[in-house]
Amino acid sequence: MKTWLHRQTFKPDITVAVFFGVVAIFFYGSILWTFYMSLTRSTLMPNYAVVGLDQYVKLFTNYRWLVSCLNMVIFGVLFIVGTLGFGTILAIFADRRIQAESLFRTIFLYPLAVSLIVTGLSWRWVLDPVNGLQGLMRNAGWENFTFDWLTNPDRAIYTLVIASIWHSSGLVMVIVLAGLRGVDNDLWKAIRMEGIPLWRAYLQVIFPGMRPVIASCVVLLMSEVIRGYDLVIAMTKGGPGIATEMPAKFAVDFYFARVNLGLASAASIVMLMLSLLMLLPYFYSEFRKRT
Amino acid sequence: MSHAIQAERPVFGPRIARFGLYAFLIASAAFFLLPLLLIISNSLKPLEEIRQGNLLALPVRPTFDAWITAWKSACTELECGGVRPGLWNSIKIAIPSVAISTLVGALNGYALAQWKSRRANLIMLLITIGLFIPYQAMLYPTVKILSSMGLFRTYAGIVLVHVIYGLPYTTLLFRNFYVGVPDEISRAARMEGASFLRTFWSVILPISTNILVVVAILQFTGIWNDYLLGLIFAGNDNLPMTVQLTNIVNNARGSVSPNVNMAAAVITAVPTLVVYFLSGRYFVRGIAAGAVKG
Amino acid sequence: MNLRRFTSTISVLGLLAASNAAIAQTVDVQHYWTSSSESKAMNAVADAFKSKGGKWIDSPSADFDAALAAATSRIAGGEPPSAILMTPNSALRDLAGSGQLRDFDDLAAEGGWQKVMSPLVWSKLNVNDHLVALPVGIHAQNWVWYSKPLLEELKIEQPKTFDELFAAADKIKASGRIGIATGGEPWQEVGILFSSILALGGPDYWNELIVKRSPEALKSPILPQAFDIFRKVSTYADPASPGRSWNDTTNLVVTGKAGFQFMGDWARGEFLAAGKVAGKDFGCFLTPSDKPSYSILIDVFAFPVNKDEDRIKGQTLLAQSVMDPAVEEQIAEVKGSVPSRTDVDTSKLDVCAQLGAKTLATPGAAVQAAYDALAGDLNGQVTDLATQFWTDKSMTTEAAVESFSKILQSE
Repeated sequence: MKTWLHRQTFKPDITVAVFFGVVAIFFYGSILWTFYMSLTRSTLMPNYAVVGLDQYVKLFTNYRWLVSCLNMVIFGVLFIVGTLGFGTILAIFADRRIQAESLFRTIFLYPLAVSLIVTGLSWRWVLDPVNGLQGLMRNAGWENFTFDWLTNPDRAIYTLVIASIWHSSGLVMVIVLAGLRGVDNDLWKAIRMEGIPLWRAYLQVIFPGMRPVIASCVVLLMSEVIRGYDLVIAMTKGGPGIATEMPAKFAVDFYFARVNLGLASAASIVMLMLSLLMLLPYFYSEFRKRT
Repeated sequence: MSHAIQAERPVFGPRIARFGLYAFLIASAAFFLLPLLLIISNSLKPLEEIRQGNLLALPVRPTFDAWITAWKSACTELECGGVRPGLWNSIKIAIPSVAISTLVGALNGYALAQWKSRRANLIMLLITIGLFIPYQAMLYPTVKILSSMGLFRTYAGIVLVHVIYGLPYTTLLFRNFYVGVPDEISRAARMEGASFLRTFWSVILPISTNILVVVAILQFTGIWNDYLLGLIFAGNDNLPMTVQLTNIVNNARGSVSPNVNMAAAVITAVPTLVVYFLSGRYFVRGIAAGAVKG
Repeated sequence: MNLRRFTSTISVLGLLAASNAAIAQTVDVQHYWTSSSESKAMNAVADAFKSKGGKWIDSPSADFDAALAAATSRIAGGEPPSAILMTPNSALRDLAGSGQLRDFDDLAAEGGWQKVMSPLVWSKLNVNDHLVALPVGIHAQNWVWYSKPLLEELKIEQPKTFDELFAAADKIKASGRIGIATGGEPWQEVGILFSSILALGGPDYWNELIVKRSPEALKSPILPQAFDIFRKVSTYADPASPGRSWNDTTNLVVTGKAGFQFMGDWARGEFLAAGKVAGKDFGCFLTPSDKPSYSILIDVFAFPVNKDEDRIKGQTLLAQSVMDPAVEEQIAEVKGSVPSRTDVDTSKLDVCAQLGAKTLATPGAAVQAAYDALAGDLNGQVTDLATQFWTDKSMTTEAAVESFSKILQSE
């Protein structure tokens, strides 16, 4: 009876229900609609005649799609590990007592202010083998300096990794920093009194307590991997050849430029499935821990 | 006050380590600044110089012509008015969108963190999936819903779209922050019979400064840089600055002036940079900890 | 007193509004002509429209994809634009097929428009025998541009065959410059492939292969030869080529750092923007062929069905403005295209534009570019194949031809 009363005056569930209703209408409405479209032969405008799984067959026999998925895995792993590592290190350093902390933080954060289109463009310039870094070094007399990853089909994908780590490390840094700032000072005092080495303190005490915050970072980065489009367009346009094609670019290309709503929808649905697959381990552990 | 709190954080002991720390920070800063310097230096070059020389070279004859062109005379549509006409529209869209979506995300995130049930986790999973849907897949249904509400291509419509599309993002960040906040903080309020909303407003929000700042600046960045949603949902009278920026930077078959493109990009990014600089003072330490004891 | 003044103001305002509504002819134009030369061309249309009393609402976006996304969203949301700038490709056929476009059969009959357009252009503007698009200008893909000073310096004549072209390119390469400048973006690469096919096969073969997609044409030896030429061109790519935009590539020719470039005639705008003169600073020819051929890309306006009376009137007025020969001439002059009406005075255009206009008027020479001709996403698939073949030197010509045939026969 007492708990029942409490629930009456303290209602997170109603709030959740309202917002989830909105999400359901917009996001799940879209997912259902997209799934429906993926079963049709819609081109520019929706066509509601169902033809079955043709679009999925077409998708998985499309060489470019398969290459895109493989690229996404390579890019995704390197990008997430790199950004998380780099961003966390920056956050730890920014949380120490350093001179000009605010200046450093702003420098690390500003790439977020730069749109991905401009990020891609400027890194394209830096990495341009003739007019960029390589050319500059060679002109300076370092004749054998070679850094042509951007135009090398086997290496181009790593240039995307560099540019996107540059762009997103700040994101991880601020989120982790906000978490670190929430760490109780008593905890630090205890760590100091115990004489625990700093690296162990972070790895074994501080970060485990911040698990949900770090999980936010991972999920946001995964979403960037799955939806990543602008950077590829600005930097490599999927090339050389199809060496840096990504699933999101595939879907976007087919929505309008290639006038194939059906195939684009199938690609979107498969992308959702993939992201669900990536999210499950994390949520599984959340479920177990909290109930 | 902040010094007293900071003192608890151990400084790096040996001098050599301290030196290493700054070496690392400065090297990282150089890595981060390189593209910005490249953008600014090229925006100061006349077109001729860009065509002839290395992009990393410093300008020989620096000029602000490209900046002036980008601001008020680069061609973006029928009129050649630079990025200036969209500035006010961008501000007018971004401010309410950021404020509402941040607050709404905080409320929803807190509710999900508080609601100790399996269902809350499932719902969080379902909301998170929203982060993985390409915007293009959502355009058509969103258009249909908004036009049935009479909000398609209106100012209210574009704000609503930003708030809703941002929900998964803001909810996730807040929920995962609040999960880590000790329960004791709100328990007292609950015991006194304060309602959920009241607890949220007078107990939880005040201790959330850090995460509020983080989410607000991330949302501001996202909304400020948005192009597609503005183009489709804002309507002709509210087109944001990014529409003009994109029209300058990406034209398929017209002639291109990289210096003007870069100047336009920097001008468009200025408000976000200002927000970052100003946010610094709100990155405060140990507030959550203080509140527990307090 | 105050009240009276108030009511009289209201009635004056009301009258104004009413009279405005009676004469208002409004268009809302969804387009992507945002660069300086394109903006001038759009202004030529808009000025003519406004001078006839119309009200122009501008809805610009950066590229065709975005314009199409915005236009289809607006149609779905019940607020269609009055006109969309596009090309007569499968998107146009889709819009027309689903009854979204207004036709101009009556105006065309009245103005005798069919007589002043080449049959190919006319056929591209009609879907199911209704005129659903009006042409603003015609571009062509199969051009080659070169640096005149560079060729003169090395004493090279303008090439007339592919062999001469490659010999000239080798000579330029030997002098330390880039023989053939290429921008390694898929659409630029596939353009070279299509230009080679058209040059070797001529218009008849092109129509069999690309338009009718006949199995015999796919077996012809012309196809592997075209792929070989395409591969040969790819060997001239310099290290900075991958991902380079077409205009940066054109600039290599403008500044004499490279000899030749395969590119559509929009490249002319880039030369002109750099203050160069056709026939003096730069030269142009169509990809070397025995048969004159010209693969055209048409810029058109399509007119979604609108309900408001003033919007419908606005569309009619805009249609008349677009089809005005004086406007067509102005567009061609500022944008580097060729007028779509055959009765437009071309004497003021430069030598390259005149060569274009002359070839367009040659019976049987004009063909539709693959971008417009191929159904659905076939063009996209060929583009993916071309860029793979261009980049991956281990892919054989036989394998490429086989994939090519598979793609063309897949629909």
